[in-house]
Amino acid sequence: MKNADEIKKELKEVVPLLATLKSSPTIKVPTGYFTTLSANLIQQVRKEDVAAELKEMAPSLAQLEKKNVVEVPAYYFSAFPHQMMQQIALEEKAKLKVESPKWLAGLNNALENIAQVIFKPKYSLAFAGVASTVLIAAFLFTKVEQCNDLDCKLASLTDNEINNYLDNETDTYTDEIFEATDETTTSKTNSVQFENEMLRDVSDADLNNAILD
Amino acid sequence: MTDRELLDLFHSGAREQAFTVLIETYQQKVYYHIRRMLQSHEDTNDVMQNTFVKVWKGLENFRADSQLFTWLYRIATNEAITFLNYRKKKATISFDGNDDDNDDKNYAPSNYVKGDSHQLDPDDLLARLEKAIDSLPDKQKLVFNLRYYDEMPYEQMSEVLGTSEGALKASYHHAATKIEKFLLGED
Repeated sequence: MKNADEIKKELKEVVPLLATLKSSPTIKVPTGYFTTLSANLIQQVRKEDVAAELKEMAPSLAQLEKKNVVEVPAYYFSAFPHQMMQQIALEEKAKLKVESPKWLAGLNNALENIAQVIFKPKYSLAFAGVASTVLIAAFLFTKVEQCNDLDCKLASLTDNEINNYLDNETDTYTDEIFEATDETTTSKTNSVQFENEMLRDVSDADLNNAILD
Repeated sequence: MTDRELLDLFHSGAREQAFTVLIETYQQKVYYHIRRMLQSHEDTNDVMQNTFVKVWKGLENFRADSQLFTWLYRIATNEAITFLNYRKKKATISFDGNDDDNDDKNYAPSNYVKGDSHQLDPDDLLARLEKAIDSLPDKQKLVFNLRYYDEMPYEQMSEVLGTSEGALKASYHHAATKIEKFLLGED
């Protein structure tokens, strides 16, 4: 630092105008020059080593100019990264397919096999027939299921159907009613007889006590 | 971008971006390295793709114990050798055992003036050089190409090929001497 100060002082005394100018360097260096300098120097040193070695082993060969005689298709290097990334994408896709669970892969295969069979011309007509039958059966079943109570069944009958039934089946209908009435009457009679028999041996005093309790 | 920055980018999640940079950085060196071994562009392109697919798969676990470039060269070399072996096997089957994998191949006779390469047409000399290199046994060819064209130090070559530096020096010496003789028509 002392030297630098002395140099400035000296410069001021000798050339005052120059001393007023900025001392920052005006030399421009290409971008990245110092970053790549060491690598470039190493490369150069290697080159010289190889050349010196070859000169000893094969002097005529060492005199030959190194030239790449290999011909590369136009734009190969500009297209290769893209081509490679497409290849990588395919590899990744294949990897994902392999990594999917076994059961899922099995299911996929089964569905694919079924689809292949169904869509074969000789099976497609049969499949369409089976599918139609199943659909119709499902439709009818749903309808029956929806109407299985008495009100619904009666509501679904037409007036003519009811009138026909009453006209043709009156006897059956009446007998059924009578049978039902008879059963009720018989049941009531049996019940009274049973009570009388049970109370026959009970004294009036016991009955009064039971009622009062 | 340095190799370290490239690997950091890859591990940060921008895998494809990092990989594209890697390809752009090294594709030409790797291409010429493979091409010198296989000659044909189509074969080279196939091996290039196999090489970079392996690099993609292995990059996740690459821990930078060796240089990225050395590792890439190693994969490319192995892929190219595998391809050469496959091609030889096919040729052996096709031509009923005419396997030419031996160390003493016959060079084409030379018609060139002995000892004065300056008087020769440079293009002819280059063509002869290519022919001479192609006549070398595979291992010598590989070592010669890595040293002569890629100017690779023996230390790095040893990492790539998994061979001792001494053996590599000897191999290169043999190859260079054979080519010299071929160029001078002394073989």
